[in-house]
Amino acid sequence: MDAAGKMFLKHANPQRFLGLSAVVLPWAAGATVVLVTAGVYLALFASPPDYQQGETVRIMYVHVPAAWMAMFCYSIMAAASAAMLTWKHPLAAMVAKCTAPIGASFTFLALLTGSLWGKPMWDAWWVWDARLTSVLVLLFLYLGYIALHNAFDDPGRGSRAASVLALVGFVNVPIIKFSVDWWNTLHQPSSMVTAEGPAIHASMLAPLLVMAGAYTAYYVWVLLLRVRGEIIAVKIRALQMRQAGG
Amino acid sequence: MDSLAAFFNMGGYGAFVWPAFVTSGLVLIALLAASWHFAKAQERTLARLESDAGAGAGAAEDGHET
Repeated sequence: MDAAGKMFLKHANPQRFLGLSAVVLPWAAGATVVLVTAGVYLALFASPPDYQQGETVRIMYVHVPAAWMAMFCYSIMAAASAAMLTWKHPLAAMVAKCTAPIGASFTFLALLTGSLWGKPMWDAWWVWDARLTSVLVLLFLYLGYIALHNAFDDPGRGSRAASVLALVGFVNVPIIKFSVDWWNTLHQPSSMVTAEGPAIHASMLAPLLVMAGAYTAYYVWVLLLRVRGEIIAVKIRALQMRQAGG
Repeated sequence: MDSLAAFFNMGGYGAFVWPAFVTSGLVLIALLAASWHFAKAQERTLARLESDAGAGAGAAEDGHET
């Protein structure tokens, strides 16, 4: 095994994770606060209105990062589910489980802010086109994952069933990404990933990237809190069983 | 004062821009608060169980000695 692999396994046990996450937590929290403050300032005060979309373009700064995180969280959840099914790794199982409600929240916000942007620009809160529908499917995949997790008395079975759903549902992530290229849609294509580089002015790119950084730091912060809670809950169950048994 | 009103008006799109920002903030703060409470509650429960176990073990040892 290479050095990086050894390094990973050394830190990827729950007890070490508690120590490591205690160090990372305040940094993630601090980064979130600083980046959100800077991002909201740039989004609302220091960036210009769009020449076509006017002030509604500011919705982009909460809509696009939420949509990115919705797909990023699902990818993490699917990868952690694969690791959990392959190696039965307890920490991977916890990361997948704890990512689900965060990803579901980002997906909900992407849909909601998109709707608030669609009404003034398309004159429709909702259209059944490929991009919007595939993101709605993503929300249902998250909710299905959470429901499956809680549907079994044996948490191990719930975790395995939910992991299979997460893996099967991963096919939806590239569909979301390329939906604007594969189908005719009202939704505009990506302005970031083009052959000529980002097709977006620096004054709008800056708030977008800072908000994306803020959302990423937020994800790390909340994920660490939730995984810590899960690890400690396992310790509590073990202690209670020991006390009940002897 | 006019500029403040113009800011909140958002070129006539205030009814769309502000709900997008406010609900994003509320949802993310609610999820953070719930996760924070969950983690802290588990930490408190574990601390209590461990101090109980420590006290219990201590009492049992005392019992053996007398």
